[in-house]
Amino acid sequence: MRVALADDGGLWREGLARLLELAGCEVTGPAADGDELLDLVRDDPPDTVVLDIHMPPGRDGGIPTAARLRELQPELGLLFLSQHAETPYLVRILQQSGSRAVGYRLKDSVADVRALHDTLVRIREGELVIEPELVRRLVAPARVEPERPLAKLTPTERKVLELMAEGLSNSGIAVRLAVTVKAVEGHVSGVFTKLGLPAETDGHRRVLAVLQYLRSRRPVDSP
Amino acid sequence: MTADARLALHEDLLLTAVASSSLGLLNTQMMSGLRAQAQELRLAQLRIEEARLEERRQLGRDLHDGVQLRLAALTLRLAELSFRTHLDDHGLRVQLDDARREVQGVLADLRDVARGIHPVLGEEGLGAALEALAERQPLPVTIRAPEERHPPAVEVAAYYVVAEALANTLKHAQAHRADVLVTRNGESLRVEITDDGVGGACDGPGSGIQGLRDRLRMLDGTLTVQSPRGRGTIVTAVIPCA
Repeated sequence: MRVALADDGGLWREGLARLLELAGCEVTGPAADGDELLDLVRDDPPDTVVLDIHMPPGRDGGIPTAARLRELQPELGLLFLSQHAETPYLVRILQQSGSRAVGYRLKDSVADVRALHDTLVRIREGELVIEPELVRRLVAPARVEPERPLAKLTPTERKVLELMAEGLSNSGIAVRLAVTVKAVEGHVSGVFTKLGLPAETDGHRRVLAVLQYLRSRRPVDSP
Repeated sequence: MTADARLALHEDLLLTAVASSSLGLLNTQMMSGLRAQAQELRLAQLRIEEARLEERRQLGRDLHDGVQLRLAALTLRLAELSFRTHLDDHGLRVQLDDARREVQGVLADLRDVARGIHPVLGEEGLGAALEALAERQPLPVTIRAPEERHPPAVEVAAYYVVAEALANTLKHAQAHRADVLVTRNGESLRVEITDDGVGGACDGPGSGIQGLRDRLRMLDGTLTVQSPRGRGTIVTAVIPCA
């Protein structure tokens, strides 16, 4: 896999380039900001781009840069990295770059050859990959009002919900839980029924529906 | 009345009128002088508050680009070493992975510290920062906030009002839920944090609430607390945006 790497922190960038090579990738670049990355991708098209959300231009230049990259190369895989795993950033990424072949992960979580490799493979296959720490926070039982349907999920259903929110497909969830795909389909159906959500078979819409449900923000009533 | 008498009375009245209008004039001048001074003082306070804010923003950036970056790079080195360690040397690999997890723990703590220094707002705005805050609370917190942006000092002040109010709720209120409502009221931002706990909140000198009130005063803002015993607590802050 050909990977273009962009990050304005030299130390991190060098280390990640080495790790990507250990994970079996051919690394192009590196680039130190969004503009350099655009030039790099134009001159030497990769399969996937690994980029820092918080690099120039501006404060969070990674996100608009990725949108422009997708215009150049619609099939490009995108892995966004950050020191923070925050839902608002995830939402903006989804708004600007969609949910196909997109990943959002904490920098510390990809400091592992296996985890890095798996994340890149999933993105290459068109999946949406979301940092588990972010999802865990969203699904944490203490955060949920007892009368909400979410509190009434069984432990297995809660786990399935978590894995759905991480972007895993039914087969991915089956592997993770060591059960059959059919069993997973049953749990997924149960979850959606209990939460009162329309059953979504499409992977991406499903993740978006789950995330939307889990967020603590209510839409504002007009003043 | 004779003409002279009338003139004398008129003169007296005239003199009194002149005298009192001079006094009036003097008062007016004093008043506008005081008003100008008060305005300058207020502007100075605002500048101090904004300088403080910029300082903290810079501290947050330094943390991100310095300590956090170096530690993150360290986790990469440990990952590399672990990977390169010969499969036979299982013990060493385990130790390297443990070391890496330890550093990841430090990074997680640093993220919390960074958030205390300056909210991770970026280009997202107050609603997003509050959402991120709400997600981290061990009780359900709903956030309602407008999408529009406000002056940075106002947004940061609003964020910390909510953070402090929620911290108090967690410490004392024994509440089951909290709700945060942010609305734009004409020229001001209004922030209301409600919990369904035991009430009886203390907001006297030395309390966190008093500290918040002082900070808000720098921005010409106000903070009130309604906390009848047994009936929950409502903390309300009003911060001018102009």
